[in-house]
Amino acid sequence: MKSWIKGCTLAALFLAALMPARADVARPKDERNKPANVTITMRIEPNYKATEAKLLIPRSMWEEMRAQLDGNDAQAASASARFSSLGGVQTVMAGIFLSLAFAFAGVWFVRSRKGPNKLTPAAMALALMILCGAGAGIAYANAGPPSVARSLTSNILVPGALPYGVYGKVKVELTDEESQIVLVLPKGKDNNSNNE
Amino acid sequence: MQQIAGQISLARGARPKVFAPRFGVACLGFCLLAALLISWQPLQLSIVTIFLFAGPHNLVEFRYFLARMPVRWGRSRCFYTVGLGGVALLTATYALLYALGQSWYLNETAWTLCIAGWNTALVLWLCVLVHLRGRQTKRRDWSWVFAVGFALCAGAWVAPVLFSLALVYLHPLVALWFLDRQLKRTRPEWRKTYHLCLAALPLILALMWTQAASAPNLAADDALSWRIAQHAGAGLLTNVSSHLLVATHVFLETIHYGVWLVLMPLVGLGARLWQTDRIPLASRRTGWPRIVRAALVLGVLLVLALWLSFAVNYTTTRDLYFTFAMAHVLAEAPFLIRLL
Repeated sequence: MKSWIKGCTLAALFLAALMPARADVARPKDERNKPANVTITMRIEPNYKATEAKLLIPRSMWEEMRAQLDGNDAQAASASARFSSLGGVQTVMAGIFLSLAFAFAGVWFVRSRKGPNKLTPAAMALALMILCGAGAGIAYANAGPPSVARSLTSNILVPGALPYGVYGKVKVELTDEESQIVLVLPKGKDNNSNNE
Repeated sequence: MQQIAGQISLARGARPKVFAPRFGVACLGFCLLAALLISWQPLQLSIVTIFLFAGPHNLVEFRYFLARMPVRWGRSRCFYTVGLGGVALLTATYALLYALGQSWYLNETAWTLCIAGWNTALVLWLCVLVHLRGRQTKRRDWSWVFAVGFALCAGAWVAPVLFSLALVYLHPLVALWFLDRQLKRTRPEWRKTYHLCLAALPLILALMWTQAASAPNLAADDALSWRIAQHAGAGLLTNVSSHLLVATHVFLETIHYGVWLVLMPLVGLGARLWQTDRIPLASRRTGWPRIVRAALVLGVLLVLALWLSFAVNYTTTRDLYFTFAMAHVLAEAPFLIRLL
């Protein structure tokens, strides 16, 4: 095996290891395709009678945003939807081919070691370290937030959720009764013990 | 024997390492001028370059492939059968997919799966060709190609449309590889300069991108402008300026045309376009000189017909051209692999 192939393999491995880090970098600001731009006040309202989180959007504002959602934004939304929806067949086929790639690469690697040009132990160690680094990067980058930040309840208003931000399911409703966006938060489980 | 070997090594050592400055300056000058003009008016230059050079460059490629085709395939029978059979089959299925996609027989999901399948067939066909070529010499172990190929197939299934877009951008670069192999055979003294020019190409592209990255999207007011932007991937890479995408694609295409229309005839054909005496298929006793001449005449007529069709209906002709031009994209593969 030629030395430049070894070099390219190691470089590709190194770049693959960098990907988890790059994946977490925020996207640069795009000045051309500005999103629908409507400024409105928002209220977050803990409501202990509510059973689920609700996002109430004034109908007038929704229509204003829809009017702006044509041209580039609609195209961008369509394109991103096309890429984010990976079908089951595609996933299975990609998995099969990836498995075949690993299997064939393994066979080739074992066969190539029988030749006079073996990978040096240093190169092997470096490749192993990069693989471990990549694995650690993926694991760290995907570490989940604490449980308080995994559902939209009134618990998100506590300081413990601040470093992570929060996410969870929300029911989106259009309303004629509000003039501002309202995020209704039901009572969280942990608050029972605190309030009672 | 030792004397002969000594003479050969002396001859190799004595070969003057000519740095071809005129070749390098002309190449870099052409690239810089093309980058400047294309960054300025990408849409207009896309229309002009395809109109003028698409057909003629196909003719020169065809002439080059004719010159490289042996009369008797011999040990390469399997290689050429798989190569040329694959070109015919993949081109036919590509045209069929295009027709089905245009006539709405396929919904978006089915079309995406078909494109992924076609891309997979293409990659596996290339892998088989590389493997067959590697088997012809015992010194080569090209069995790694299947590992790379399967990984590419996985990519083709994860993002089929992006994979196809990558082919659109990579195809023009294949001409640069052809030129490198040809220089190695016929003008090795130019190769060093050529590699320097190749190293400058990413810099020119980076310069183009810094200029065009913040440019507003091209106004896709008419069907042709929209189609050109879509071909360059504006519908997929929505966060990238369509000005940058079209400019990059046209620049790479221009380099591709420059290589095939200027540099390859200069270093590769070894004769004028219409001279068939150096084409083995035409000049050998067992060849077919009349068929070769007829094919070249037919090629010239097709170029004229393409120009006429462009003049009558540019948008439709452009779409049809890029569908059937897949044949020349695919045909490059076996001849390039054969040169390795």
